[in-house]
Amino acid sequence: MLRSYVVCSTVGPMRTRPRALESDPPSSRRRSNDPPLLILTSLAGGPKHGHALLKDIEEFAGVKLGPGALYGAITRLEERGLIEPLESEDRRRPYEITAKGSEVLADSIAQMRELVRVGQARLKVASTPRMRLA
Amino acid sequence: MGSGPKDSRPHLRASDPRLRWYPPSWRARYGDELIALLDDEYGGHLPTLVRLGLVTGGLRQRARESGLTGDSAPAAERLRAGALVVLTAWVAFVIAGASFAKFSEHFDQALPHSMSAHHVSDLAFTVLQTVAGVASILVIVGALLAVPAFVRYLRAGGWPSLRRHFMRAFACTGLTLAVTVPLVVWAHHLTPHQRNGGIHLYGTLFLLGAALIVMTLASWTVVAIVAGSRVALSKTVLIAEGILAVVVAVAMVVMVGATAVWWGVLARSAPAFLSGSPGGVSGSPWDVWLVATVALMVVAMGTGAVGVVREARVWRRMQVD
Repeated sequence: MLRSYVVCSTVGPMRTRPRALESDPPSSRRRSNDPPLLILTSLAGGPKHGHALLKDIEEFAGVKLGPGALYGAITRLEERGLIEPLESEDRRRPYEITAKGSEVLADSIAQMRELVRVGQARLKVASTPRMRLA
Repeated sequence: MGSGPKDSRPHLRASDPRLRWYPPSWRARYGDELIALLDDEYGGHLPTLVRLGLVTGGLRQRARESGLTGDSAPAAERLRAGALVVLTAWVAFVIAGASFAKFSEHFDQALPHSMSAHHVSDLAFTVLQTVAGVASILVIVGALLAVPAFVRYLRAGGWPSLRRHFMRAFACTGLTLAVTVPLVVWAHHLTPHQRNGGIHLYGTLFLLGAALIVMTLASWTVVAIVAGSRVALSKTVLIAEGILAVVVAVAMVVMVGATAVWWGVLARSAPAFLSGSPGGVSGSPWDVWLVATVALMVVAMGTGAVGVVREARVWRRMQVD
């Protein structure tokens, strides 16, 4: 679901991405690139540090975030209380999603789900007359 | 890779040159983690795109921390940032204004003996001068209002954080004086023709002097911004600074309007003056110098508007809260 979407996220700024076509070569497919939402989604699966976050996000969303973008988003998420750091003796400090963060992520997913529902319904209506004409 | 001997010296890692674009407080909090990530991901060699990402990320963080963007900084910081943006815009406007003053020298002698052309252009020019004077006084008032807080900041040990900027500004000022004072003395011994292109060395030195003046103004503006963003201003002073900034921003709009009127009148009545062909009766009103000057004025006005919008948002938010 996160591979391509148009969402007015409550987590980050609005991102508008044209939908990728299955027939497009993988390199030309547009990926979702809303770092805060991607980070929350990743942390919903358990606490992770920066390196693990990058790997996980690349794996489930096909997005390779830059370190600058990752830590910009981590800063904002922590300021808003959506994630929190865990104690660590290592330089790699892990983060976990907070209850508020889970709530915000659930809201965002609900919005996307609604968007997908409306979009699919309208596409079905729009494609029916064309099919009849053909 | 992450647990080497360097790990016991976080202050050294936080000053890693790869993070030089980030503000110190951010480096202190996230620097170690980000460097660990960079080491894990890229080892010793950072790709160019990653370097660029760190530059933009650092600048964004500085902008957020100073209250220029985002809502994370306290309202007072955002209000202060808006006022400092207007101050920066004003300095750019002063540079454009100086350029305009030089360009428009003796314009009234170029106008025909039509009463209306004289009247309108004189009125526009007077409005421009008057508003510029009033706005300059307001900027000085704004600076004076911040002086007590600035003195408190220095007494509390703030000098080291400003020393580098002050030294640079003093050096620029000294260099500018060293070039411009002899130039002014020399200019008094030259005819108008010699001053306006007759002697190439004078022309070159004039341009050098102008560039140094711009550099000096810029360096003192940096001092004002660095100091202005660090001193602790009371709520009353902050609000007064905000109001002054709004008035100065409006003054820039009025001055751009007056300049446009002046330009329009000269373009219709004395285009030869604008094209720099004295004595001629025709010419293009689109002189490069004038276009560049007015463009800088418009950019400064737009920047001032950005600062005012920033302030307005903070005020609206404060009223809602």
